[in-house]
Amino acid sequence: MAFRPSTAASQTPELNSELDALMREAVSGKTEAVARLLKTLAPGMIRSARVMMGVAHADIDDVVQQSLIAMVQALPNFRFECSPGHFASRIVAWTCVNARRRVQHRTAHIDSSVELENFDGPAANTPDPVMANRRREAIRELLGELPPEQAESLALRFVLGFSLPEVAAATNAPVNTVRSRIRLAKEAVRRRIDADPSLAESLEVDE
Amino acid sequence: MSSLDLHPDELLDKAAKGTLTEEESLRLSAHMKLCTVCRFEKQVRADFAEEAMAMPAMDLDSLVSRALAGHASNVNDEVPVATPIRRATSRNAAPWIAAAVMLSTMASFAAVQFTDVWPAAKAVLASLLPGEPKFPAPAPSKPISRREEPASTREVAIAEPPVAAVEEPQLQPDVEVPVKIEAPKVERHVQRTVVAEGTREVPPPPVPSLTPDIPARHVANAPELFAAANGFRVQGQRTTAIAAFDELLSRYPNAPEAQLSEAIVGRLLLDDGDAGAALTHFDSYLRSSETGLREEAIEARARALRVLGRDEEESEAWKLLISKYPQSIYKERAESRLNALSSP
Repeated sequence: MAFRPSTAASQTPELNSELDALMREAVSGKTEAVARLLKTLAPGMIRSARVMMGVAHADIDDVVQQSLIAMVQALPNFRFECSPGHFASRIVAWTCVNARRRVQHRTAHIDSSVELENFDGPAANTPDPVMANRRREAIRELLGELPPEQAESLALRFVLGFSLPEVAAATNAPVNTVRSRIRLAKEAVRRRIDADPSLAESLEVDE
Repeated sequence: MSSLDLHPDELLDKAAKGTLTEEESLRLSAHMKLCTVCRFEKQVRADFAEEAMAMPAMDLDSLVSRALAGHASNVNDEVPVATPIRRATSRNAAPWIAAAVMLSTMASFAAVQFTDVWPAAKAVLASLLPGEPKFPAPAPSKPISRREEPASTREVAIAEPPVAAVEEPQLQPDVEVPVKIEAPKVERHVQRTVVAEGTREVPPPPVPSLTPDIPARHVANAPELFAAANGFRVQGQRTTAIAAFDELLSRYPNAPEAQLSEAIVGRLLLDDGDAGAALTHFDSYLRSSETGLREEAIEARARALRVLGRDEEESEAWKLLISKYPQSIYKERAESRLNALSSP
């Protein structure tokens, strides 16, 4: 199961063509169309931002707002080479990646040797929701550490569940480039798991 | 590169869509048994999906209208405010502020290059993204035309500060700053960047070109100052950001960007623990015609009043927030504080 933002990417062809028409009006600068477009795309963008940042993150409101504003700003640059939904997702991904990097920079001086799990007992006994949260946080932290292009691809794929062609379309990059970015990002994921094997302890193996 | 580095991403995509053939399913299962990373990917995608589904709705109209703040109508709500007392601008830091503004001016050149659409919103939009956004097909930048600037943004030359006074010299590393070659060794008329307290409401006079052939140095207008100040804020250079916003407030107190700046500076000061100064800025913002950050300003003002221990005013502020924005994302916080304040 993968989360798909409720944007054009997951809608019917009729809705897509309607959205494309709205997008064209918005790109031409009609304020009313911009507002309608934002209202159409915003639920998916907000949800994406919350998932990427974490709903309890202190900067989430700012990131949501920045994503919406960035969407308005980026409209003139839209070339209709991907769906409006993919375009919006990419903007959210960039905004979140940048926000994560700033957070990472701000918290660089925090003593990471003090970890909550040291006080919570053995990780093997941790209930699943806690493990799920730790897995999500591991990815979110990587968004702030990886090079921006890799982080963007990781966010679109791991967090939003985009396929390789969808990431390629959204990022305006060849599929093989995206494949390479995902591979490098996965190497970073592997290093993270190696550093904290408990992250992978509860993973199911398909039979 | 080991065989495990060749992750079958296409098969994972097909599995997500439920379109795997039997053979592909077997191949994917064989890989998944050996590859921790792909198992992790599958699981974490499910984790994110689960979290997304459990999220509450947000007030869409409010968010969208804020994003379109540049187009919003100027509706000035009646808001009770305290007596406006402007915070001192310079705090004996004139050279430092001058340095900050010079850096701001340089940074703003790049920041405004991609903001030639929807002029009313451009100051906000241009500055909120750190560095050059790598969205598809960046529009060709439009040269800044002095003739197109709004009349309210009068040009003022920027003093050259002593280099030693710069505390935060990191200037947007991702932004290529166009450098304007200046006329060498020509005595310039330089306007002080810091206006003394009590005179800050009076915009400084325009500085003429030195000669018909030698243009004056680059001057920062309100959108440029705003973009630069916001750039500092986004980069976490809070002190420099506050100084730059102060400069904007000082030079162009009537510009729309200055009105927005009141709310932003208030928030920065509140985060820094200076609730009194923050309150002054929130009050100034709420008295203005700007509406884009009104909800946030009322909420932050209430928090500032809480820090100051002004319970009655805090209570009024929370009530105002709920009455003006019944769907506010701060409603829960407001009600919680009202309950706490009403309990003996």
